[in-house]
Amino acid sequence: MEVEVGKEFPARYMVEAREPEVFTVLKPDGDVVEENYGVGYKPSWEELVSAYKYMVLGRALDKYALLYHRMGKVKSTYAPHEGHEAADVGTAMALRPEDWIAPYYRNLTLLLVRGVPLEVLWAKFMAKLGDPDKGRNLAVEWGGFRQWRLLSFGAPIGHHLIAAAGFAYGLRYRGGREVVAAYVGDGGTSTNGFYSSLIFSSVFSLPVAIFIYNNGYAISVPSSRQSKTKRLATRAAGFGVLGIAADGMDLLATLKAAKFAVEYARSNGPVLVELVTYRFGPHTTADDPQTKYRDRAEVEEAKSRDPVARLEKFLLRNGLLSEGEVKSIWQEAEERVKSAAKQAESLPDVPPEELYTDMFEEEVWITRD
Amino acid sequence: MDNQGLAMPVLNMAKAINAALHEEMERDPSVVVLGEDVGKRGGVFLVTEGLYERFGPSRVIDTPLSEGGIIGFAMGMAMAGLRPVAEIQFVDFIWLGADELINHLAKLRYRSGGNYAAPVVVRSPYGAGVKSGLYHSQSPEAHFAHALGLKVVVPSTPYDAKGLLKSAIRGNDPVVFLEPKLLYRAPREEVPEGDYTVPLGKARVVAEGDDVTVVTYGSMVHRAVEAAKRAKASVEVIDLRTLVPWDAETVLKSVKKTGRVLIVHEAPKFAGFGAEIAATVAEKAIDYLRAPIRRVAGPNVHQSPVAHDELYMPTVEKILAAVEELMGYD
Repeated sequence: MEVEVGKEFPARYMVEAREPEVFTVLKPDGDVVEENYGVGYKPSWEELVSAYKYMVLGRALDKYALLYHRMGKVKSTYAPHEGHEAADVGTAMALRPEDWIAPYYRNLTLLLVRGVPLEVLWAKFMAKLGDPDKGRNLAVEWGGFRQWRLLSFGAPIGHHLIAAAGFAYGLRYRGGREVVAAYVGDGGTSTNGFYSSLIFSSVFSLPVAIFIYNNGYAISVPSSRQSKTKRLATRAAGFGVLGIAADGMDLLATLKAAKFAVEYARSNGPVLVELVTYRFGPHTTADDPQTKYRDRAEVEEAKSRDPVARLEKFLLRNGLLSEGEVKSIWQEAEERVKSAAKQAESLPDVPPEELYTDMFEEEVWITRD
Repeated sequence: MDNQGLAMPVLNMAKAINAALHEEMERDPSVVVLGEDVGKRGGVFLVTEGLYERFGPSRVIDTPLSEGGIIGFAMGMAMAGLRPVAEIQFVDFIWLGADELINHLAKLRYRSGGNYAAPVVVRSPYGAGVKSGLYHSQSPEAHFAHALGLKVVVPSTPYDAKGLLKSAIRGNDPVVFLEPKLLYRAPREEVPEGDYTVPLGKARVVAEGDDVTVVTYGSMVHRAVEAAKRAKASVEVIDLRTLVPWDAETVLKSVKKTGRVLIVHEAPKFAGFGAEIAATVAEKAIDYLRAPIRRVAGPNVHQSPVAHDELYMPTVEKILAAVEELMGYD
């Protein structure tokens, strides 16, 4: 029997996901989509220039982290985030200083906007003294960056989202008005942590904004293996949660969507924002995407939407930066990154004693038995 | 009344734990309770009875049916400064939250370089002997012990349960608090009303003796004590009370005195916590031994089939037989 929705069985008893459009402001040539340019938050010119500088700094850091990894100086696996800079900066700028962040592993520029010094990041990459995590984690696992209001992340995907919900409960219980912004990739939307976070934060109406970076791949597996819907934002609907889709390679679109989402979360409860983006590089330094699971043409097409270039063109077009200023911003970023790396190289190693510390608040005999 | 004039009601373990929760929530507003059915229902074993009425829904929280959710949520709450006491309805269900428990809660302090702590207590009934099949009977303490970042506590009496739970709630480390469901209703004993604690990491010598040391914990303590009473030999019974960190000092002191050691637990013998005790005794006191180290534990099958629940469990008779066997060496 051919089955047709709404014919044999009335449609009013059915529910279907509606695919949203992807909110975009900046065109690849730096022009804007007029009807969206006026939507929501309107950043100042200074904010946009500052956003650009952070994006350039993040990209420069990525470049040198990969270089230093090849030289054997970045001690563990590194996960480049090139292509994610607008999503990082746009969402970070949408937060208030008192808000908290539950980062995932491809969020490096986010940490820069949060004020984590380059020297600290290099100390972490090189597993040196000065790494808040005492050299215990991979280069991009943020275990103990508490002083910058970053929650703890360990590699098994998704768990940090439910911890973020519990943290939000704790903040609200203590009378706070802070929001927790939590980050996850497209693959992470298939995890228990993702679902339990949406369930707990929705039934308790918690101030949680989840940002999905949908860059199309979980290592090599395409996002079509994570969801039958094209847009992952549709997952919000079943939880009675608001879902939003925006172009994550577009600083203005991300910032406007994130600003709305964060303030919505503060007063109404959880919100799920899908930021459509692309990872230009490999999953990690242990991955080789170009030859195995992605076409060169696909990567080149994504690069034509490069978030840094798009904002740069917008700023040039509007006379907010000159070609000369752009050049010096890049130079300055590279200098800062290199000089911080040099400083970190001279830091002492984490002492052997630290192998045994922090198992419990007070040491127990078992630890050294 | 005790000698300080405190009331000494006679309580079973469920009531004693309930009293500890009432008193800790009264004492410290950062203590909250969460889990499935812990609110209006008061927990399926009524361990959280009355808390919802007294402290309200923001502190006594009925959660969605998601063990990973409960443990991960509790970890986040603790990172924000609360002291959550999470109930996993039966410890058999804790595996749905294994990642949250073992990968995250246990490792949080270490992986954060000491910048984060999560003082979460995960309470859960464990153990067989109540004809409840494979998913309401498990005794998985060795798994939690091997995770290392978790303290593991197993009370055997109402008095200890109340005092140990208070210590667990007040400490700054995550604790798995395993409640022998076989002992929830009986035995009962006098439990002081009001504040006292029992320290974690300290065993209790339940019965003194010179010939054989029986090391046990939780549900098996009373069977070991009964066996000690009936044995011809003079049997010392040690209730560990805490498995991480366990009180090796008390055990080794006793073994050096008796020269014979028998370890009793209801979890399957294979790779059980008894193996750790046996290895430690062998490493540190083998010269004192007059007989092989023996274990009486559950058989190496899934704990435990309804039809063979009694057959599965270590009994007074099995313990007695092992004591007799050890006395045969000299």
